[in-house]
Parts: sequence; C-alpha cells; structure tokens
Amino acid sequence: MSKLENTRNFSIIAHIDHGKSTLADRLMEATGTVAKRDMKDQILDSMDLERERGITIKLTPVTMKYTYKGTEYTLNLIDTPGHVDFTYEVSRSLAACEGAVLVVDASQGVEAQTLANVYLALENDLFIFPVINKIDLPSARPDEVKTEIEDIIGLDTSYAPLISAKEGINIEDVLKVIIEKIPAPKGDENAPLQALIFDSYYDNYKGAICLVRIINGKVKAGTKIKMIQSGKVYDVVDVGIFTPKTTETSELCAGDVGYISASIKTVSDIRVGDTITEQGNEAEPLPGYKQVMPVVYSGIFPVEGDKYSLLKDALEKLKLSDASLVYTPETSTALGYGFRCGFLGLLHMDIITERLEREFNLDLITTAPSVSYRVYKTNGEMLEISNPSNLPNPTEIDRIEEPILKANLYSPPEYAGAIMDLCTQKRGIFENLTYLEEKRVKIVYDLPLGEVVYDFFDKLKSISHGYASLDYEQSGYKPSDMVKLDILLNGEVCDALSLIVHREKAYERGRSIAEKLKEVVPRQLFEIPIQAAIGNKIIARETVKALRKDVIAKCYGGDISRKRKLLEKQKEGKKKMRKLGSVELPSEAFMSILKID
Amino acid sequence: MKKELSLYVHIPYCNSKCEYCNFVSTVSTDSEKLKYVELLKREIVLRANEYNKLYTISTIYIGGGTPSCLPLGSIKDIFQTIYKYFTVKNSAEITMELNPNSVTEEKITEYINSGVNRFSIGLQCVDQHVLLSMGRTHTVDDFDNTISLIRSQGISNISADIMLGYPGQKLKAVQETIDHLVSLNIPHISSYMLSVESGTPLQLMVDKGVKYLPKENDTIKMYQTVLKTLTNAGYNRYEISNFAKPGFICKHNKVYWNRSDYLGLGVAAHSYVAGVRFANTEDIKAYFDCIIGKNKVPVAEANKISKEEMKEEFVMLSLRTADGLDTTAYQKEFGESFLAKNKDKLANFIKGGFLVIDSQGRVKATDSGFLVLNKLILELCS
Repeated sequence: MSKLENTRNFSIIAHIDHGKSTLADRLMEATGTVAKRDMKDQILDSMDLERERGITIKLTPVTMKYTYKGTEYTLNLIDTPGHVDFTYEVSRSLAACEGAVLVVDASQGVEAQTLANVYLALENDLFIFPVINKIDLPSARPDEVKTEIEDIIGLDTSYAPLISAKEGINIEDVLKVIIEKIPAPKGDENAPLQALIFDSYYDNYKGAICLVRIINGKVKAGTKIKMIQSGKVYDVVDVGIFTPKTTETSELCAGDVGYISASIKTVSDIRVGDTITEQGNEAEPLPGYKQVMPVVYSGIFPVEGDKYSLLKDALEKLKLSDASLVYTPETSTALGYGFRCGFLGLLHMDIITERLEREFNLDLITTAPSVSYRVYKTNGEMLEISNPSNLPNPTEIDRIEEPILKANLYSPPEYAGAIMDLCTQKRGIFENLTYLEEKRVKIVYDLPLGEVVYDFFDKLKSISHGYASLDYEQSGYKPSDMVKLDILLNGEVCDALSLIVHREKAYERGRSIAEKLKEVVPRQLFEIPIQAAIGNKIIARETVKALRKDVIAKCYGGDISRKRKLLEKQKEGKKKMRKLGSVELPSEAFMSILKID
Repeated sequence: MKKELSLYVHIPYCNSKCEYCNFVSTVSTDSEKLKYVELLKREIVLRANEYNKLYTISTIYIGGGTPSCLPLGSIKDIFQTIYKYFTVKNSAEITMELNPNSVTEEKITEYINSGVNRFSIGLQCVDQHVLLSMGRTHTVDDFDNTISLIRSQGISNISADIMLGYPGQKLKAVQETIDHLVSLNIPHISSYMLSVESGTPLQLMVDKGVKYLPKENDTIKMYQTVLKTLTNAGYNRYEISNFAKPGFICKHNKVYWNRSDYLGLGVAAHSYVAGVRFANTEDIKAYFDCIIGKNKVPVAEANKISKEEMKEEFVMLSLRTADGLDTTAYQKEFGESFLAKNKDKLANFIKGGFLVIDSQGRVKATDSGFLVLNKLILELCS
C-alpha cells in the first residue's frame, strides 16, 4: 500500500506521567489524523480504567499521514504496555517497529522504570532517540537531563527535540526526527506472507481481530491465512489500518501496520508473537515466539453466592478480549462456587478483578495469589498445583518444586546493597553483579516466583526510591521446603485462607494472619479460637472473645419501626456473610486478610 | 363494643438540648409553642373524627421533648380537646414526662387536674459531673423537689429514667443513683444503656476521642448492679429496660410490646393501628403547613406490616419482656410452630445459657441473654 521508504514504524517509551499519551495526542493533531475538536485527552487509552488510573496498559495503534519536504510519509505508532507483567507483549510490539521515541521529563530526568523498556528496545535493534518533554515547566532543566541521558543510557542527545506535549511546543521537531532518523522498514511484498501478530482485541461484530505488522508479502480480503504456531486457517474478511478508528484498506503490504479480520471466534485463537502466513505459499515463522503462560493464580468468588452464573458469563466475555486470562471452576467450603484464574502478574490480576467489578457490577472475593508448584508424589506421579486446597497429604508428597526466575535488576549503584538484602530476604540466590555504566548496575538473582509475585515489586520500588527496575524470565523449577499453612476457625480449616509457603516463612505468616483475623472477625455469642497450623501442628493462636453485651435500649412507639429497619439492614449484611461451620465471616474479613501488605 | 386504643402525644420542645439526644425536639419561644398546641388540637379533632367511633382510649402518654416546658395552661388545653373528641376510659392510665427543673407547683396542679395520674421523670444519674457532661441543666435536688411536689398532691405512680454507660460515668455513680431511687421509694424505673446516635454532639466527641465510652465490662457491671439492687428491693424486671414494684407496671408501655393499637399525635409521632405502622412528619414546618393549608394530618410514611414482619415484631418485642415469647400465641397467630422452626438455634442458645423455655412453653431470655438480646433476635429472625 505505502512505499516502504516512506513508512516509519515506531513506538513511544516513557515513564509513567512523563507524557506518552499526551505526546501521542499531539502527534495525531499535528498530522491532522484527529481534528482538534474531536480530541479528548489521551484518545488512544481505550479503557476507562486506563484513563482513570493514568496508567496506560496498551494504546490503540495509529497510522498517521504527514507530508515532509514534499513527500507524504506513513507513520505507524505502536504502543508498548509499560509493566513487567507484560514484558513479552512489549517485546513483540517492539519487534514490529524500527524505532522508538524515548520521552523524558525535563525536570524529573531519567527514571528507572523506563530503562527496562529501553533495554528491551535495544535488544530488538531499534533506533532510539530521546525527546525532552515538559520544557514549559519552571523546574525544567533540559541540559542536565540531556547529560543524564547520555551518561546513563548512552544515547546521542544532540538532535533531541525539546518539547511540551501539553502546550504543543515543537511537536513538528519530533515528526522531523522520526522521518529523518528512524530507518524505513525492509521487506519484500512479493515474498510469501509473514505478518507478526503483536496484539489482538475483540470486536462485538467482527470477532477477534489480529493487530499485525507485515514483514514480508501482502494480505487482503479473501487471502487464506494460516497461523503458524496454532496451525489454524482462516479466510480474511477484511484488512485495514487504524486512524485511530479501524479503516478498511484494499490490502496490507510489507512494512504496513494494521489489522486482519477473519471471523476468528475468540482472542484465545490468536497468539501474540505468532506469524501469519498464506496457506499453500507458506513462509518461515518469525523468531521470538513464546507461549504466554499464567504466572499467578487466584480464586475468584462472588460475594453473594447466587451471582456465580453472572461471574461465569463475565469471565467468558473478558476471555474474548484477553487471551492471557485462564480460568477453571473451583469450589470452596468457605466461599462456595467460583473460579481459579491464572494471570500474567499481580497488575494483570488487579486489572481483571477491577474490570469484573466495574464492567459487570460484581462484588468479588479473591483469594491470596499463588504460583504453580510441581508436586512429586511418592508414587512417582507429578501434579501441578496452584490451589493450596489441592495439595496432597504430606505423607504422599516426595518433594515440592517451586518455579524459579532469572531476575535482572537494574539500579543506580547506591541501592545495590538494599536490593541484595531484599533478594536474600526473598530467598534469592545471587548470580552476578555488573556495572553497565558508571551509574548503573545490573544485579542478577535466581528468585522464587512465589516471592516475586507477593510484594517484591513494591518493596523494590520503595527501597530504591523508584529507581530500580526488574525484568525476569522463568528459568525452571527447584526443590524447596514448601508447606501448606492452614487457618482454622473454631477448629475447622478455612480452605479459602490456606496458603503454600516456605517453611521458614510459615510462622511469621501464620502469626500475622491470625492477628489480623482477630481484628476483623466480628464477636459472636461464643468464643472463637483462630489457629494457624502446618498439618497437625498449631503454630499460632488467637481468640476472638465472645460477645457479652449489646446496647440495651428502650423500645417505645417510634423505636419499633427503627428497630425493624435496623434488623432488615443487619439481615442484608448477614446474607453477605460466609458461614464457616459455626462462624460467620463478613466478606470484608476475607478480603482484608487476603490483601497483600 | 369499642376496641381499646392508646394515645401518644409528642411535644417537640425542650429548655435545652442534651448532647446525646437525637429526638425531634428544639429549644423554642412560647409563641411558637402555643402555635404548635393550636395545631396539635386540630390534629386531635381530625384524628378523633377517624377513630372515635371505633375506639375508646385506655392509656395516654404525653412525651417529648419536654412536655412540662409548655407554657402554663397548654397541657390543660390539650387534654380538654382530647376529652371532648375522644372517649377516654375512667380507669385510663395517663402519663406525662417531666424534666426535674421545668415544673412548678402550679404546673403540677394543672397536670393533675387535667387527669394526669402518672409521671415519668428523667434523672439519668445522681453524679452532678455526669449530668453536666450530658448537657442536662438540672440537679439532683431539682429531682427530689419535683418528687415532693407530685407526692404532696397525692400521686404516687412515678417513674424515673436512668442511663448507664455514659462517658465518665462510674459504677459507683450508678450504684448511688439506684440507691437514691430506692430510698425515695420510686416505684418504677427505666434503665437503659447509652446508644451513641448519629448526628449528636456526643457522637462527634466520641469519634474525635474527646469522650470515651466506658469499657464493655464496666457497662455490664452497671446493668448487673441495677438488676441486683432493684430485685433485692422488691422490683420486678418486667421488660429488659423496665423495673416496677408490684402494681406499678406501665400499661402504656405494654401496649407497644404487645403490638396493641396506639395512635401518635403531633410532629414525629408514630402510630400502629390495625396492622399498619405510620408516622407523622418530623419536620415542624411541614407539620404546620399541612394542617393549616390542607387541614390534613401530615403522614410521612405508612407501612402495612406483612405476615413475615409481624412474626419478626412478635419475636423482637416479646423477647424483651419477662413473660417472654408465648409459643402457643405464636402458633395461634401464625399457624406455625416457633419451636420447630428455630429448633437448632434455640437448642444452641439454651445450651449457651441465653434462653430458657418454661413449663408453659414460653421462651425467655436469661440475664446473660438480655445482655445480647439484639444478637439473639437477629439470629432468630434470619
């Protein structure tokens, strides 16, 4: 469609708040892609959740036309989600580009979190150039920030545009550098089709849609396409680009970024990183494909038991647009019917539960996140267990292996000590420490995934004042002294509160859960013992004393209606209680226990 | 034969506002009060037109607010209207609430001449610090003088209200309060625990940590002290918060707990007649406007009590009384067995020492059951 030499494919890398979405808005305005009057802030942030949280999970891609020195260029902006949960998706998006714009705040300077994505971009051989944003602020110090960029990242800043995305200052400079510096895509439109899937989404009318970068060949309506990894074959219904709304085109050629719609039922049939080729004229798969696997698992239950089927419908609908979400039905004695769900990480888990609550109006209880352990039984059988309740009896267990990560931590040297302490606390095994530059070290640890998903990321951010960043990949399994920690209320195990933890951490966790439960379990007519136990061994105990008194109030004429209304309210509250043997627990009690500190 | 009906008359005025009170009452001028009395009289006429054919009045209760803060002559005026338009039994129990510092001999004479034969007086506590802290403006002497005034005019049916668990109140103060009432031979005592109501100055102070509620154990001890002292002195706890010497049980109160019919007159007054609970508006201005403008009683809400709600009220109210819940009456009224329906729960509560069942099939709260009665009722109703 467009000539290769007049196409530029790029992404924007920015620290949170450094102005990625705003810059994208201004670029669309400057190229006339979106008229000023149609502009709403952060137009590409399609989910309300993203716009409200100010975090961009993923932007819609957009194709912009811009005439520079008499030639019309096609500029494709592809976004990268900015969180470690989505590292793989980021790498696929970057693989679809030739260049990246690094946005740096003129007063904040280089921020640690940006760096992981910069390194990812460098790994993908992208041309990166910096843009200094927010130069209109009184605290702006563009020269110092430039030096920082050169020192820390080693990028040439001599041609870095100084802009204010908010005020629309020097936006044309950015376009100029994109066109002059970012290499044009290479590719052969006459070669067999190779299209890289870098994302997908679900459309209510057209079904699941592939977001692709065409590397070689071309594709149009009627092409019989084959997904190389999944082996599935489809007839293309239509192809097109994002302007930013979907706009049908006659074809997509090598170098183009756009969508392929082919009556695909769910996004689960589309695997990010897979290569689309033409059935009968097949090309080699593109490198870098990985099957995305859930990392964290958690039980999700409706607060009101009768909402189970609503939750089921909601998950089915979310699954249509989020292939990385997996779930299977689960039953808990304490929480009733619900689902065991797998997520890419804690942020992903947060996003899914928040979307379930917000878009489907559900009240949910989520159990503590857990990773998947390999449990080897004495009879030679191996089980993958992510639900503590499914852990076999200790006598049947030969050993438990836990998933291990190879974690790369990037940080200014002054925080290295604290980071290493944290890693040790989290049962990490030190591998290596190297100076990348004078002001940047890379620390490599083998860390148990179960510790990383718990609260590692937040702790890392807080001890390094936000400067340290983390990327990781799973590097296998390792035998570990894992035990099942049970919580007993009134002598009965509350399955929803069970955890798989390392023996060394079991005492501390058991004690803190028991203490917290004591605060939130409402007093009942009988005393309730709270115990934490490993097998038959009680490791912590608290007691909720019996309720001994209500307020004895008078009850005359008008009090009767008041008292009845109060009774109705209390009865409503009781409906939301979860009964565990003889103990009633409000949903909030569950949630406050399960909340990660 | 006509059915019996009780009347409640609400006087929404006080000389000052206590800091724990969330009742509908204000501090106001005499002319405002007189205007209210005029409208109240019009409501009495309107209501009498509706009810007088079917009902005779068996008890009357003038409450508030502080009814005794009305100007001289107003109470007489109200009663004359009641007597003119309703049929009041000769034996009717007629109670009026008093504040210890708002009465004079002249007023007491007016009330008694109007037919009042029972007085209910708010004492709350004999500890002057506690009284001040509550925002009450009377002294213990004021209370004693009021008792003398009433007795000198031949009325012995007197009740005193006391409060337990107020911030700063000690067990000793409760003991002294009870001892004082026993020594004065006050034949009826209402004793209830402080409940911190939303929107009151007290709530603000408790929330801000300026005032502390007594410890749970201390409040329990206060209730136990009251119970023990009064029982030893010959009083019966005929309801969870009411104690009386033989012959002094309040008939009007029993109307509420037996779910008999009562009609509330005046702003914010509640009624229960023929299975419907209804209430007048709480807004004095709306009350004025509706009666003046439309010649109608401003009813703010009315609910026909369903059978299920009726069962709950039966449980909720009867368990408050010493007589307890009459399972035979329950069976007769609702056509189902209370015992069978709540078998497991009752077994549990009896085992826990909260309830007993007597030989006549009455379910009664024990001493420790009364202390957690709200919880027991919630469990039995859900």
